[in-house]
Amino acid sequence: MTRKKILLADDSATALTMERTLLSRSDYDVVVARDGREAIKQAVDENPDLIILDVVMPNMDGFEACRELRKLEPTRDIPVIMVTTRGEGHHVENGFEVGCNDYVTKPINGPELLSKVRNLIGE
Amino acid sequence: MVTQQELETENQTLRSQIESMKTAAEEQMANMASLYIAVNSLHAALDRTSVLASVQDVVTTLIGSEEMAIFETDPEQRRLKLLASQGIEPGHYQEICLGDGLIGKAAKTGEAVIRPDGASAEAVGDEAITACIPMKIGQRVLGVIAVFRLLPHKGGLNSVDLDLLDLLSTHAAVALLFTRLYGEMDHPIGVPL
Repeated sequence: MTRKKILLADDSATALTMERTLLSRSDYDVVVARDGREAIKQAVDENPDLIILDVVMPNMDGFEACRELRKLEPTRDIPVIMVTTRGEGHHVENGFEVGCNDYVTKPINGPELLSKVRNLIGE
Repeated sequence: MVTQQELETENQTLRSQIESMKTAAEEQMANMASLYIAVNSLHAALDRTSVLASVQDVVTTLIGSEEMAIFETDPEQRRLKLLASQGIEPGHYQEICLGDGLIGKAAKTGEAVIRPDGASAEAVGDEAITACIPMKIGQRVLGVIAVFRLLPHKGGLNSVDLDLLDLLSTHAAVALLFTRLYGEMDHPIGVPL
């Protein structure tokens, strides 16, 4: 069976390592990007099954990147989970307005992230 | 004779138990990963700026606070000097005498000060501190990491957070000392002797 591929975009080395460890141990392939622009390029090049986007990133933030992903033909239907340090309503609403499918808050809760990933793309 | 209904109920119970065990295993994996990643991140740098950035990244990403300060003890062990900060007004914390306030007290005694419930959102000064962690090698205190208010959705410190703070106490100290010694080497690693 083909393993599902997930694109992680975050400028935090710690967050990237954490998410990559959790996802690769759960049999997902992982590719990474360090900012919003790189995330869009990687999304087009790698055609992942899911994108996990941090909100605060250099060059282009997660909201802007998500908006761009929704405009591009090759990426518009790829599910997106936003990662934010802020769980308040307006931050979450912003994410859904730009087209994300779900969100998680930092610090990352492993079971919660994996559960949301499985809900969107399966095992 | 077991009925179909009873079998279905038992299956449902077993499925639920398996799901709980799976979640517990994933939580355990995430907790272990947090500790491993924190250590790895702290010891992956050769320069002080990168180590300080790693401490900040670990506190933000794994513990859940965007307000912190990192202090170094002066050679005479009288004062703490601010090395780096995030999300606080640094002017108030440039220098702290050992023994003064929670931060100075942690440096003087070598004992961590921890509020497991976290500081309240309205708190100011020492009341806004969630944890003061002395960075120690043996009994020698090299500095202090002060974690102020936690992120609003983070209710308090859990057992893994306490493990992470304990780990930072030693490993951040070793990593910072290493960068100092490395900077003093005549022939740093990678340069031919």
